[in-house]
Amino acid sequence: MRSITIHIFSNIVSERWLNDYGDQLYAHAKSRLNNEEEILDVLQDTFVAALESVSRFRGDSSELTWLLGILRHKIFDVYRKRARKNTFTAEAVNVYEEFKEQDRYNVAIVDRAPGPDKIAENRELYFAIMNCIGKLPQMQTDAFTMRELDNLTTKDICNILSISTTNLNVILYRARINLQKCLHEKGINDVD
Amino acid sequence: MSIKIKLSPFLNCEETSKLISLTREEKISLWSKLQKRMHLSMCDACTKFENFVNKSGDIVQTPPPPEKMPKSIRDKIENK
Repeated sequence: MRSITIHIFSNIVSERWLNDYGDQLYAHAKSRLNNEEEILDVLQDTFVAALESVSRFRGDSSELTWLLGILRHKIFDVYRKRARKNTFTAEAVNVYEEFKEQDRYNVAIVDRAPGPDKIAENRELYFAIMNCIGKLPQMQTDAFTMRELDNLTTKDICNILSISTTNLNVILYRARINLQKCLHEKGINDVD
Repeated sequence: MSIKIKLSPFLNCEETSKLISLTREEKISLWSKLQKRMHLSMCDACTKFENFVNKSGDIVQTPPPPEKMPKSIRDKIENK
């Protein structure tokens, strides 16, 4: 009898979470993971974990913050698994070649006057960058995401990905170079 | 990333761009900062890169209005 009560209780609670916070949780998961199956798994895991530890929730933060916290950890677990699976192959990005290509000291910086549709531009820029992040090698995507979107410390990221600080710095460096390259290919040469 | 500390104040683009990326991760030495500034004062490309690194970090922090959870996912969660 007790297990049925718990079952009903769980359904009511998760139903409410789904209604009240579903969209926000989904939006967050979507900004960190790129396939729907992973997103579904991570959201389900979040609800399960939340139900299991609901007694431990002290109400010192909002429910949404708490759920988002669980979701973030579930997402980091995905990154952790990925890092273990992939052997990190060094990307042969010859950066110096990239810079040598153009006549550096004579390039003038073209000053773009801000247009009236600035907000639309920023939106487009946001999606362009997110798209480019998704195109990076897995390791670079995950490291960059944890750094710039989740603001994790170097120590935490290194723990999750099982890499050294030096290694992380290299990965982030390559990610940034690749991102700029990707944006150039989209025709975006200035960010603001 | 191992940054070799050069005695010369002049860096090339590769060295400078590595420093630019590293600045965002940890504190760099005063000398490295000087070397970086020296190069940036002469190189538009690296100046653009620094601008890009900083701005892209800001842009991804502020996403546009969030997407709604699609019904397919909502149904699957409800049924579990």
